[in-house]
Amino acid sequence: MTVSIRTKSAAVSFSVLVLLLCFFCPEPAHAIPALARKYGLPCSACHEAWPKLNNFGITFRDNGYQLGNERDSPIYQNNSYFPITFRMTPNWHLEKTNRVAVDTVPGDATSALIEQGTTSHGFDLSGLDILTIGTLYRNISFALVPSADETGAFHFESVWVRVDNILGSRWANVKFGKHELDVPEPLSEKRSLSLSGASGGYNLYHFDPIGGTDEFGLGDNQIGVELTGHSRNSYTRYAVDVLSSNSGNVDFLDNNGLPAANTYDVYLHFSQGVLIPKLGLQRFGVLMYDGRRATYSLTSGGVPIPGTGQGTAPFYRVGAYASIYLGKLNYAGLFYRGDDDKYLATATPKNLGPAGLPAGARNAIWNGAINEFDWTQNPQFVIFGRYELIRMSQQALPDGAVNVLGITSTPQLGDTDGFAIGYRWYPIMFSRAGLAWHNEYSRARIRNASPLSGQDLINQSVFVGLDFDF
Amino acid sequence: MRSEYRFLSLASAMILLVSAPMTLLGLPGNPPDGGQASSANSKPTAGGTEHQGVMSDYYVPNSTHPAWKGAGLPITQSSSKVGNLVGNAVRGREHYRRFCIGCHGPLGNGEGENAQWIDPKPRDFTEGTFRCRSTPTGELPTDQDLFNTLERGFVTTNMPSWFAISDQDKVDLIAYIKIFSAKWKNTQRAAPIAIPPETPITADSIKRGHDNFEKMQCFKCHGQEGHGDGTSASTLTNSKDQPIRPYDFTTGERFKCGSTNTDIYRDFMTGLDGSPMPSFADQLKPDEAWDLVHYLRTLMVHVNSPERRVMIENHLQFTDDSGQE
Repeated sequence: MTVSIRTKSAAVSFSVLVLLLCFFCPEPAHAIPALARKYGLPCSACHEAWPKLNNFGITFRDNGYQLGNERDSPIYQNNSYFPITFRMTPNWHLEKTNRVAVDTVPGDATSALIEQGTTSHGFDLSGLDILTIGTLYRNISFALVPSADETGAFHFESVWVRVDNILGSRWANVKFGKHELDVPEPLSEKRSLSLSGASGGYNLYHFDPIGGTDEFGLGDNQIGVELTGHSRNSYTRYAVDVLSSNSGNVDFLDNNGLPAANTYDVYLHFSQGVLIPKLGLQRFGVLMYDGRRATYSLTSGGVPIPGTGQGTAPFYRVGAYASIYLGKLNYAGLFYRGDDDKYLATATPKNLGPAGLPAGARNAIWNGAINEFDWTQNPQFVIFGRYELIRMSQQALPDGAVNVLGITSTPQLGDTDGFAIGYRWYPIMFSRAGLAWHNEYSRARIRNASPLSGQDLINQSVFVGLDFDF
Repeated sequence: MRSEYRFLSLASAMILLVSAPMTLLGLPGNPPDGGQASSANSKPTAGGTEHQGVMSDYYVPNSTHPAWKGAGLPITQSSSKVGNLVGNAVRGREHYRRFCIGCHGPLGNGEGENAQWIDPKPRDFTEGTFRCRSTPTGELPTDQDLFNTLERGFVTTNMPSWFAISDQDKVDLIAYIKIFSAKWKNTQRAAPIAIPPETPITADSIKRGHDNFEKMQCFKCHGQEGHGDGTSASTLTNSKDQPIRPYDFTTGERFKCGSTNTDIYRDFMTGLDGSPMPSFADQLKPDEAWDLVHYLRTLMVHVNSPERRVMIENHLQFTDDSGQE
């Protein structure tokens, strides 16, 4: 099928490819030999199969990366100890997309666009994490994590200081800076077992309706202040965050590189663990994110001015989850609902008022679920599998309307099914370094999202790599 | 075949092919089973253990290895009981591998890979000697003692408090460590000592306690003011001939075997086996031991204990044998 409106199609193709590229990049994840070195414990003490944490690791982290043995302050470490860990994953991967808009004549931008599948494969590199995490002093913990993508372009993934056990109470800990939200532990994107492009990350966390401008992702680190508390064994946990409405970006910009608004978001999380004899620790929790994003900004000479995001519109995410252990098998399930205001969902600047909205515009609402199964045979071998689904329960536009990307609205537009399966084998289990032989296949189908024909977009990935840190 | 399924088939085949190294190298093994039939995956050699098909010292040689010092209870016969929980050594082996092996070592002899960097050294389970017990000196601890140790950890050492793992996991671990020493097989288990109720904290009790401190010559190790700087302090070694410092009461740090008065009483009467701290059960009567506890609390100058308050209220001052305070 060919189209005559090349600009819109190119924009569609570019947008979709940008989205795909985001999925192509294996997510760096966190396992920290520096902490194992500090205390002389093997990685398996804190990690069920690294980077996934077990309850001892969760408690250790909740306590400000302290064991409470009166030797947590860095003054007790040898001067040569430095709390730094590097992690990277050289890999071979294959990415296949079934529908990409390509020029009929390669290299000729004036030739018509057609849809065809593409496959790319080869040896590659992941991003790099430089994890410096530990204690500045007793009951003052920190993290500084510069991260690079696979090209070596750096950003700060995490930078925070946390005052732990305020007034001697484990129910009062305050974190300040850029940090991961307190998400369900088996479903943390920073400690996920999967690394591939198509569905290695959690599609549900980053889902935004097609044609909208809300760039929030639950898996993205945010900047703000967090108050957390936990019981002694971390069976009961809570977190309250107040965050800038910038999706964790600096310089008063959001994830789209546009000016962020001077508003603040709120995140709440509560979970409760229940130990069932012979089965293991079961955990249940709820979470809620209430945020606002700008729909336009002030400009100077047509250039957006950072930090002057205007016309904020609300969005929210709510979820409930369970992490169930049946011996070596862990099932983690999350039900998640999202709601984006109609101005966000239709990319309409709010200063245009209701008249600026497309006809029939409404809030975009969706429901989704993550179902993840991990089988940890022992700390050195884990099999994982995940199925995600996202279903739009209300599209931003009526059926047949065309959004800003030139895509026709259908009831299923954007519905996603994600699937990932793989295993990790750790030849060494050590307190100085980690190594995992990682194999994974994943697939994601996005309904009616192909750039030209409006058919289903299907991405598939095969990822084989040596994931190491030291 | 649809291209999609062709691709899926190709992807699956590739995953299987690249997983071949794991098959060739073998799946991970487990720590020893305390005398049972040897694993097909390892064999002892003169210079150490050759691990066939594995790459890590976490894969432990079987009990025929020359380094094996003695067999305790076979894994299938080793159990433990704490309260209503019954421990299973087979499950305990998995937990040991996850949590303990890095310090205590695959043979349980305290020679884990991290032991060289740790001070004090990890416990050698093959000796069957344990510091924190409720049983008389020279005896094995009760399962409850070991559970309490796991729960408490050892402050100022690399042994963390394992309260965050489940009670069942702890009890399973206790069952497993019994495979390391023959004492668990050959020794009748002793009952805990009787601990009478604590006597009142009075000025007289504290004074008597000071007298006992002098009479038992505690100052030789712990110093006259409890700084741990007694004349013998620098010469002390533990059962592994490693230097060891006496407890410094003035730091206010938690005691390794529990910090209640009852715990300190028990330390006197059972001794801390493996360390130079002997049992005073034959030298001290129970009341005298309580008096000593009350006096020692007054040495913890940074802790506002009832004993310190009694001492201050009664203007108690103590001198050593030389007449110095």
